[in-house]
Amino acid sequence: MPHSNIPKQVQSEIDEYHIKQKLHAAATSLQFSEEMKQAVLQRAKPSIWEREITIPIPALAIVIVLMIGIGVISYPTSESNTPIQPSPQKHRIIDMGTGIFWESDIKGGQK
Amino acid sequence: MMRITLRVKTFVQIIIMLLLTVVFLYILLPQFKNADGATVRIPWDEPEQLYLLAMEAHPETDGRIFVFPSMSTYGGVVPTVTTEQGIDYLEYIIKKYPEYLSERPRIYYDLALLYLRNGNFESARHYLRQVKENGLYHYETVQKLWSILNINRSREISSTPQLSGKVSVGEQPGKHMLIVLRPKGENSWSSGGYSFITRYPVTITDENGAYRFYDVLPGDYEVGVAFLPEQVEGHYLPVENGTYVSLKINQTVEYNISFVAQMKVNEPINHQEIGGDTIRFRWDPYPGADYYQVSLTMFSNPREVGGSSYIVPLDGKWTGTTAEYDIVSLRKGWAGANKFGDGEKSYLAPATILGPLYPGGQFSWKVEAFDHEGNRISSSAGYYLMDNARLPLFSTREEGQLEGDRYVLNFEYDKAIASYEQESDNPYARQALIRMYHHGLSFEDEGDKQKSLHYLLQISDPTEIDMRMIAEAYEALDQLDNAKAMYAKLIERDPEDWISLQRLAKLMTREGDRRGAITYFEQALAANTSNDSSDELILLYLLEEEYDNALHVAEKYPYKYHRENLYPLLSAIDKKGWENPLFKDTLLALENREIELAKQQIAQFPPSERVYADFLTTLGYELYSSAYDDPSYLK
Repeated sequence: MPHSNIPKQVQSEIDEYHIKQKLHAAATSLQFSEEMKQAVLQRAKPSIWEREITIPIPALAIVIVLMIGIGVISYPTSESNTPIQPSPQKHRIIDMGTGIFWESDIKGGQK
Repeated sequence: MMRITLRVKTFVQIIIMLLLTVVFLYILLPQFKNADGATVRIPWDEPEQLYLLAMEAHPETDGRIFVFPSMSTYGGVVPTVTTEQGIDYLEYIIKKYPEYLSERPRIYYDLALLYLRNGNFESARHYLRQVKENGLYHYETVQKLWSILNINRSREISSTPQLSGKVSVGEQPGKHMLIVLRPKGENSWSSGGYSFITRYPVTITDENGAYRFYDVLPGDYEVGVAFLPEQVEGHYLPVENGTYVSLKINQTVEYNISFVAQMKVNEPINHQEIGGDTIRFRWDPYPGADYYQVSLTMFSNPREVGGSSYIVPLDGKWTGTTAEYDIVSLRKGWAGANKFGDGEKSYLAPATILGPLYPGGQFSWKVEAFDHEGNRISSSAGYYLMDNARLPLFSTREEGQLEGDRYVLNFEYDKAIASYEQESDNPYARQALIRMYHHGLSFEDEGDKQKSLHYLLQISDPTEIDMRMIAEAYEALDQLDNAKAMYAKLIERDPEDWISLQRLAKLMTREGDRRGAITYFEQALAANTSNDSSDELILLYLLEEEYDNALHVAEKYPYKYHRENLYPLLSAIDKKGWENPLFKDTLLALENREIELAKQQIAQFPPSERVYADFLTTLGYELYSSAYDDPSYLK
């Protein structure tokens, strides 16, 4: 029952507050928890690009160390970069009296 | 556990950024071509590796081919990295690793040599200056190169060179080629990189192919030219042994070097296998050719490429562009009596035993073009160093090869003889036996002429080669009448057979028949003016007191070397020489091959009769060179 000595304006605000309190109390069971969020997201099927991934920092550290290691190992050094080793194949020029030939050309037909 | 959460999109973006950074860094690595032409990237901290790669351009061994009238030689190993690549690598080292230069001071020197080879003389000069200023490397060579690049090339055109000329390759100038003067009589060649440059006068042709020499000691030289294979591909340099220039003070001699178009071979080429009864050679026509001649070549040791080889000119002057030969005739032919050694053992060459074209062998051939005066104007014996070359190389099928032939090709000569003996009715087996017995199997082995004669006399239709061997065997066995009869038969077959004429004359000399010997020696000289009968003929004429005839022979002597020594000395002896008993006694000693007695008698001439002693020494040297030291006064 409304108090008769309270102005109408104030009484109206008090009533509104009470209604909000009641509504809040009524909606408490409908609050959006983390589980609900995940469930919604799962139901929503967002683009793969928008999905979030969680990476454990130790695992990330291991991957980074591995990548640097591979980079260092595969870095071209005098030991690993075989294409720049001096060519072991030496060409010789042979004068047969019938011309000047590469030795390998003459050997090309050797039985 | 600590975690980070991010969107897939963000994660992928980070990965892409990382990959791009790696690729970008890789692209930034210095990039070069390796020996096989593939691109390689050298890490920033590897100057030594880059230097080793640059050395594959072989700055010092040079890779040039040197051709002199008397010989050809090559700068050893041919570079597997191009000159331009070598320059790139070394320039990069200088730019990026200046500190590395203290470790490898010769980089300046190597770069100078590479630029020299490349024809970039400004850069060559620049780096030579660096070497000179820092006294870093090969002082003498650098000084000489500096002199070649600066003094010789910067002289004004008006100053008079002692020797000048032009090198042309077809219609093009032979630019940036080295010209080397080798003193006459020098038998060796200075091998080992650029060491020749301090030993001989050297210059470089300019953009027009012109070269000039100044300040060379007067004397006779042969002019050599050094070039890279790619500079002369498709060309041939016709040079005749014995060509010299004679340089004198205040006189200019001109000597041009002209590479002509190389003849092109068509068949057989590129290791084609030949079988059947005939072999056909084909080539492209050459402008101005009157006729062509074909020659075959085979290695002394068929199993060792690169050893000595023999050229066998084949009979026939061909006016067309095809030559056909009967394979059987070539197998029965003659490849010369050749022996060779490998340092430890020596062998009779398989081609001497098996003939110039035998089954199961590898051969090369050439064709030469001659003009109507008989001058050789071109040849196919040029340079086959480019990928698309048609190589004048072929092989023969093994069919018809005897078991003994296989042993010969493996140098198992004892087994070969045993095998041939078992089938000596086979004409090829008999031919092989004859040649092995006749010539001996090594340098030391003089053969068994009795056995060779045994098989030679079984031949029903002997060739000229067989007949000559019969005569030689008779000579060796002291059956001189038989030998003379056989030589006479040969001369009957071919009156121009100067070898038989000469052999007959020598036999007559041996029997003391001076007049007969003079007759045949004269005929031998007439048949072939370049044979070596002149010494004996001069001796015989002097013994017969026919001074004018002796002088005439000396004057006509085929070799300039002899003409210049024997003729002036003999001219200085007047006819009164015959009143000098010591002179005549010494001639008699020479006739009787009493070398030591002749030397003693020569030593008895007083200084006033020095010309007698000099002439007799020279004549003795020419007749029996192995028994004499080289007379020091000879020109």
